[in-house]
Amino acid sequence: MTTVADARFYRRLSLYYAVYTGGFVAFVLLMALAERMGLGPRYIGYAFMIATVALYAVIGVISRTADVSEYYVAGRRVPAFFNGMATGADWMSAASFLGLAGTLYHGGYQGLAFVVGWTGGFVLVALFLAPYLRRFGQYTIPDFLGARYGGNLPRAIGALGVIVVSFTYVVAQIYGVGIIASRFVGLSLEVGVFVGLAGILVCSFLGGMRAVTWTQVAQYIVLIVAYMTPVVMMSWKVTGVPIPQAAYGTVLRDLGERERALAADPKEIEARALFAERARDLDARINALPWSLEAERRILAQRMVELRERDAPTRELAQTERALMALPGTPAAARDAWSRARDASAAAAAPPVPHAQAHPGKDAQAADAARRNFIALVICLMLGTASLPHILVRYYTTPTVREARRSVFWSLFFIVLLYVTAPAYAVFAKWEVLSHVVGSAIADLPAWVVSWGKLGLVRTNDINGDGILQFAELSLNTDAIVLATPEIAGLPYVVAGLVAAGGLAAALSTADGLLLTIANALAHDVYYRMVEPGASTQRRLVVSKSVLLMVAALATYVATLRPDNILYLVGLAFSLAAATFFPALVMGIFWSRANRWGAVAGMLAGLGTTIAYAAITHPFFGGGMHNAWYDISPIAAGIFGVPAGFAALIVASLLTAAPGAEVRDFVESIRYPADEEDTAGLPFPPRG
Amino acid sequence: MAVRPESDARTAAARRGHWRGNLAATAALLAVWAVATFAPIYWARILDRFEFFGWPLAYYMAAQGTLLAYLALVWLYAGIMDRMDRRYHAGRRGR
Repeated sequence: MTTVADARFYRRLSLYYAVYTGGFVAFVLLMALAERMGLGPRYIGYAFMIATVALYAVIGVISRTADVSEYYVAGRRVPAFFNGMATGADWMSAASFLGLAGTLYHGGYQGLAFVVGWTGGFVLVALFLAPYLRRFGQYTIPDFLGARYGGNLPRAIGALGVIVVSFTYVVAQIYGVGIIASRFVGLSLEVGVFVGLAGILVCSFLGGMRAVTWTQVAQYIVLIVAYMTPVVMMSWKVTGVPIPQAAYGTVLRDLGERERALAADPKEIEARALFAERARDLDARINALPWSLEAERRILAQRMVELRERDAPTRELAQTERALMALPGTPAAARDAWSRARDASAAAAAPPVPHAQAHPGKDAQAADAARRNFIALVICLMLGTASLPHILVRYYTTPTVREARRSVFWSLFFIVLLYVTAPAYAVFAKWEVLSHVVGSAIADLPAWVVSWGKLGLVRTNDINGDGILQFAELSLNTDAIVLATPEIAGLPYVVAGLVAAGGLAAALSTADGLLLTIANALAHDVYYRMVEPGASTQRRLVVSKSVLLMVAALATYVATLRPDNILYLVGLAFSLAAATFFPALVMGIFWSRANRWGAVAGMLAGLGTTIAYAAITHPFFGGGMHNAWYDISPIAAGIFGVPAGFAALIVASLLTAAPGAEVRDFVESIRYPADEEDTAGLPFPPRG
Repeated sequence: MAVRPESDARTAAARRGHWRGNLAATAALLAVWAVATFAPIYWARILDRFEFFGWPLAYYMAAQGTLLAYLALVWLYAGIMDRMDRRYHAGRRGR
């Protein structure tokens, strides 16, 4: 039931993006041809980075705007299909693109918790949130909390929640951009991060939501082409079928057999035993701190003296000196460094778990804990998906409620396209590693081991000294697997460049959406709604843009501090979002008795419980798993936070006065179709 | 929400019907969602005795089967609500 103008707009968009996709594919083929003719890897990397970022910048500049509605919600005329693509890119972050296949590579079945959780959440978005938020039709999520519960307090807590959640998430994206830029353009991680920042800002700064939307559609196309290409090629190579999603079942079965063989291989057992010994040794040293650090220093200094006395070869001397220099300066630093080394050794010492085995554990109790954690993580990721502010605001941008519902379908469709491919990516990558890398001589390992080793993302350690690489002796960083796989599988370098461009698109698109959401929470909810309600439109946009710059700079600074791995940070953001927003949003729509104090109590209880649980169980905050309840790991802290939020919301609402007639009218108004909805979109602006 | 007085009763009835239908559809789809999500995970070790074109069944469900079910659910919800919206407007106009 679109109008004629809408239909024309849709046709024009389709044409533009069809031409764009064709152009991109032609560019990739051209680069492949150039590689054939001798263009070096370094220039291929440059070409992909520069061409794609320049493209996004052009779209960003074309879509610049000074109109408030265009800036915040892209004028509310984004068709469902394109909003689906934009949501897909907004949603699929560095964690999905870079981290997911890596997590599946290491975790096998257990990694599928992310696949199920990150898609299942969209069913909740469709059923509980998207249509109602679109009917409400304002600009931000705190807007909804403010309108539904009244007063500035719920809005302020909502804005705080938006900032905490989105900030954690955006740091992870910028860090991802830094990894890609440092590997493929040869910048240091710190510089790469700032270059990434520039790429993010050209899109969001000039055109707000409007520019972000149309670049996100372009970025989705790049990222899906980039993700599919290596998997299709590996699938063709290994199985002869170019549809990896259908073909990897048999490869998975063969992989399981090979992993069982590895578990019993004598050389592997030897290497694992040596790693276990090293882990025990490091553990003993950690327990004997601070004394052991001093002892270690003395032993090394003593050896230096001995070596000098007997005129030992320079190489041996240099080695010992390096070891002495590398010794941590303080007992605290030693505890940190040695714990990390111990964990790495312990991980290498564990026998490989067959990839497809569900809920592995050494006994029934451990297997049950694995299953509990899997389910808890799935629940947190789903509820988190349904509460992420930067995703929910995307459903404000469709022309009608009906389009918003369809838009959830298209979002999920475009997301599932990548998520059914990720397990195949992991299986083919592992297959390549097991059949071509493991068992080769350390001396002639391929070049990618060196280039990724420089970044510290790939490590080999010939612990048993036999000159052959055992599976236990190879450690691949989770975040590097997707980027390194084209090289591991020996595909043309152009594929590696393409994948890097895809990873960049994924990280940039999500960072754009997040930065805009944070800036809007500050500029729209805090400044305009709470501090200076009389501000002119122009002033609001100026404030929005300056806040955007400041937040981006701050997030970039935090990313240069190299925080914990990407997936963990993002996982925690999900738990936080779920516990803070899900109860207040859903009850606001479905329970008209919920009132302001309920919402305030619910959000605070949810946020507080989640942070407290993560703090007592994660070493980052000084906690440990010995404090865990039901063995639930800190990433799934929301499993306690969400029920706490619901309980606090219900109890506090019932203890205080029922909300007035306006709130009942408000709840009514978002539950039923409006008069004019069957013919066109809601009039804009609707209110306020 | 501005509603003409002569159509008040009809509107109220249409609204009640629409909301009830909406809740019923939501509850039904949510139930399917819960079963599709949690049953294959909880009984994964039992399902793994079966194989589906090379995949252990539990792995296949979590990697693909459940995701396709989600797509179907969201599609169904959009379709059902479209029909309910049409019926609602027809009801309000008294047809």
